[in-house]
Amino acid sequence: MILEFILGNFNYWICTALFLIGFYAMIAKKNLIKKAMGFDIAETSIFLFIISTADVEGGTVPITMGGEVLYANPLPHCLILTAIVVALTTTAVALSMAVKIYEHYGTLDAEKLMEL
Amino acid sequence: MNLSSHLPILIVVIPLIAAFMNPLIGWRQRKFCNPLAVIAVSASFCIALLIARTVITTGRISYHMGGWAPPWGIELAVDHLSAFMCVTITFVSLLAIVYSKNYVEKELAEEKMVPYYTLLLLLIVAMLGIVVTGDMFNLYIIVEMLSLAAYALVAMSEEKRAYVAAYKYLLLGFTGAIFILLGTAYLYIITGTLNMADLSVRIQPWYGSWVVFVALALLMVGFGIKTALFPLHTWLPDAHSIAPSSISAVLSGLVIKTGAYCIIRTLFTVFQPRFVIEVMPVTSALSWIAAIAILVGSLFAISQTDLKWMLAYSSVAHIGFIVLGVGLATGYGTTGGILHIFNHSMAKGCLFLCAGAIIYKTGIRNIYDLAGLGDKMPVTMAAFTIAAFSMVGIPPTAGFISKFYLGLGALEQGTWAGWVFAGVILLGSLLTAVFYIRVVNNVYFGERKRREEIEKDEAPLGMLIPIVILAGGCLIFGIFPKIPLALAEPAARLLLGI
Amino acid sequence: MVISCLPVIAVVAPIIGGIIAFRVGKTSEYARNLISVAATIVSFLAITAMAPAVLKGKIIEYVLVSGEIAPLPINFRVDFLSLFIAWECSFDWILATVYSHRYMEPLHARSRYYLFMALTLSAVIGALLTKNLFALFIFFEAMLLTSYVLVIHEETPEAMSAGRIYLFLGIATGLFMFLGILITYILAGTLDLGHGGILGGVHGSILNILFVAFVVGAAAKAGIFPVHIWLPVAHPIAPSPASAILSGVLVKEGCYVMIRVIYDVFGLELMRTMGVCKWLVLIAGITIFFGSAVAIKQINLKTMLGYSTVSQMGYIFMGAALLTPTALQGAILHIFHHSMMKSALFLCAGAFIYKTGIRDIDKMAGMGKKMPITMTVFSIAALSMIGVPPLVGFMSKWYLCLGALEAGKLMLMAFVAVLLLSSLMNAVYYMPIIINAFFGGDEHGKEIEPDDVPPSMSVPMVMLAIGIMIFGILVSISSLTLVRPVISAIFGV
Repeated sequence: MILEFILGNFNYWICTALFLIGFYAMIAKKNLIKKAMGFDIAETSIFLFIISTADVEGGTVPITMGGEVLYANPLPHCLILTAIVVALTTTAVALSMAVKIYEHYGTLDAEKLMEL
Repeated sequence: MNLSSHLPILIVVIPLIAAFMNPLIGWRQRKFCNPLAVIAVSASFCIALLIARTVITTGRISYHMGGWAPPWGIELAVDHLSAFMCVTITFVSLLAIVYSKNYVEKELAEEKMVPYYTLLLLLIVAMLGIVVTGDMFNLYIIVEMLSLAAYALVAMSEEKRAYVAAYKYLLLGFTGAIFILLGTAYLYIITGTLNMADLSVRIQPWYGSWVVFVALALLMVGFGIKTALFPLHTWLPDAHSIAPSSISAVLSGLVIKTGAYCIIRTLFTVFQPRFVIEVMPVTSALSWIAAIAILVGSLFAISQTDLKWMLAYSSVAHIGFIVLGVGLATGYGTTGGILHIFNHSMAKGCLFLCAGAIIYKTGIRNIYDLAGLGDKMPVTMAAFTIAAFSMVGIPPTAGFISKFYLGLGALEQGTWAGWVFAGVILLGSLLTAVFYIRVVNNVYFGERKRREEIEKDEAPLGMLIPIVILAGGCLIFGIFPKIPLALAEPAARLLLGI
Repeated sequence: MVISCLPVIAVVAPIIGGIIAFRVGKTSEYARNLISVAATIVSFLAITAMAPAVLKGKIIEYVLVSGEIAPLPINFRVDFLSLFIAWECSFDWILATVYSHRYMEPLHARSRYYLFMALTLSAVIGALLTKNLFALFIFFEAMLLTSYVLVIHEETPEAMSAGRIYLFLGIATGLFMFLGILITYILAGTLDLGHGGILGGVHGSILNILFVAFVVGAAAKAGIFPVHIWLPVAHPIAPSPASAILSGVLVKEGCYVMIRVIYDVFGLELMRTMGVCKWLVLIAGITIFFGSAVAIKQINLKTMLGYSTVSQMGYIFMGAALLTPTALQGAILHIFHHSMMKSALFLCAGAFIYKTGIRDIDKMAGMGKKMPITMTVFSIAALSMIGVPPLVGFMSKWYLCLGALEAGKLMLMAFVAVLLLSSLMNAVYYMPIIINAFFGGDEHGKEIEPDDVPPSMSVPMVMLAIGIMIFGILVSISSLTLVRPVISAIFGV
């Protein structure tokens, strides 16, 4: 019963674990680039979560060839594609800012930067 | 189909096209960037007025992107609240762009000019997109677009700590985005739709489920970060005080208000008023948080000596006023909250532009060094005074009207909590008086000797005109409050379904 | 009902005049002084022109901002009570403005002073003539901010700190009144005055909260104990003509609002059933006693006068709170009488400062020989304060006594006790000044050259002194023609 619950929802567990890892990195890591990695991991976990919910048991790719075909929900894939672009842009902005911060202050340590 | 039916998309697309044309034109000739932006946003402003007129006469506008009917296609839905926000956003941002011309030339490095206008236009596009969209996922994408533009604009400042402040803003903003995405995903998973109107119907059988509860909580936290609602406000004072003043005006006046708009939309359009008031009292929880935000924000503002920091903390307090009004969920209260979006964006916009003008002319940021500026920059300081009075809520400025409505809304609740909120509103306005009147007092009175040899030295006309228009707005809409109320009142009534 | 734009003229004329005077003041001092007086006179004439219609029992109304563009209309409604007080206020203002011309000469920022004098007049008249509490609150806040500039005119550190107390206490207590207005609007759905009670049909403890909110708001404006603390600090620090109108006129606004709240918002019936007025009477009694007691030990003349104002405001509040016709008559008469007396006293104090720079009581010996006119005016006003018949001060207190009798024997005894004690204390602090000024200070037998203030300063003072005597003798006429209609409108007698 419990095993079934755990195994049946294994995608949720993995997503939750990834999310927590990412969130931890965001909060606890001092290095700004590690923080950026952290929020990327967290965001990716949510992407995985949404895509995994699109799965239909026994479904195929959503290309209609005439007739009744069981296919996976295509909408989440489209959404996540867009969201990935957003995440990518944000990461790019974050990393370029990190570069600038390093150029200006010579450090990426969040605690040292806060003292400025 | 004539052009007028395309208004909801035109208002977004025109500045968007201008944003992309901006680098092309700026590449050849930098001085054309400002006129281009002014023209584009003026066009949007005119469209916003047309939309407002249409909404008042015919009600909600629903625009189907590409002709696909919702819930399959993407819908742009413009109701009273959206029209109200459109007018507010285009009005204040137009003035901020006009103001930017002189300001940017002096305060920013030359090569930053083109990206400045491009990003500012994108920021405006994103704000307009947020308020016209009728689709939850679109909302998420556009909120992110808004945030990205805002991060970059904060980082553009020449202040020493600009990058650090922007990075801090980015980290918190991104956390907010994760929450919003997750909340939206939950809603999609249980209902299978993302259209707001469709969602509100399909979600009703799920009321009482934990998934809905978690989704709403995630969305509230996410938008709460974007709107800098206490205790999620920590990024705001840094970012708003370090950004260039014209950007501070837009950020503090408009960007955080779009977060408040998202909260209103989520509470009353996606979820039903019945649900958020009775089944799960999110509104009353928000009211309590907002009440704390008012007091804490004001107290922090009192302890500041830097003018822009003070203004930034005051924004934390006034977001509290707006969310409190919304959370009251009474006719007067929500009207007051929505009205305060407009009144506060005018007043705070004006104050930040004045702060920019002061920095532009004198470089002073400490409020105790402002003595004598009343003679040096009479127009700027008169506008500052009017806007400050509007923030405090001294009649006959616009802030008084929103304070009046908020107070009525709190008492209309008729519960003991309502009395507490009424007390908080009044106490908040007293605390606001403490730090704004202190500045006005320093500017005009005291230290007579230092004033004797002051020459009049006013900011350039291009900066003065927006300041004067905003200050005039604070007065005019205080004397004729029925003009914004024509949209704000039906907006509140429609949202609450009363 | 008559519709007339005279109230608007009375309110707007000072604003326009003040702004013109401010602009003109940069080039010509003389023209500025003339314009500032002219604006005040226009306001006074506009109010006087309303008198015939109002005396016939009509009510003048005018809608300035209609309810279609504002959440609540801003409109004017002039009845006996508002006209009477407004008339007296604007007359005082003319005298103070004329007096200012010479007095202000050595001081800085004169144009600003005249501008804000005019703006304050406009706010005062507006507050008196409006029809609803919403507009009244707007004028109140305007009055606070404009008079703040008068208080801190000197811009010394002491003035600034006094101004801070004045301003923030004013804003804080103004918020109480704002709360009262909000509650009234929620309960009654209207804020209009002049219907003799708009809260009919409301029960419960919310009425007590409402009453407290209004009392705090009004009492702070009037300087009633314990929210009087700003008054003895702020009034003396202002330039003397400004002190005269602050103490003579502005504090009366608080009394006016209290009367309106008791008789027009709550209404007589409700007030009697609630029974909260006895607490207000008690507070007023404490104020009378406290003000006089503290005034005795003051050294600075103007501070002493400030405390004396606190004490006298207690009488007016008591008259309003006794809920009897004659007591209210006494209160309204005392508003009128006290503004004459206190204006005269502050103008005299200003004259002493102008001529000799003396601010302390113990240095005033021999002043009667040096400045005979000023000192005579001072003596008349002070004697009236003490309550010497047939001066005005005696008359209003006499009516208050009669009113207390109407409220019951016990009340009369308590009131008479307070009155006697307070009058005794008044005598203790006023009489030594007068005696010393006329009979002391010339031990060396030296002849003192009379060196009195110029006519533009002495004429306003003398006019007030004559008013104090004439209205004292003719009190039956003024009370019958002017005050009696107010009373009969409220009490129906």
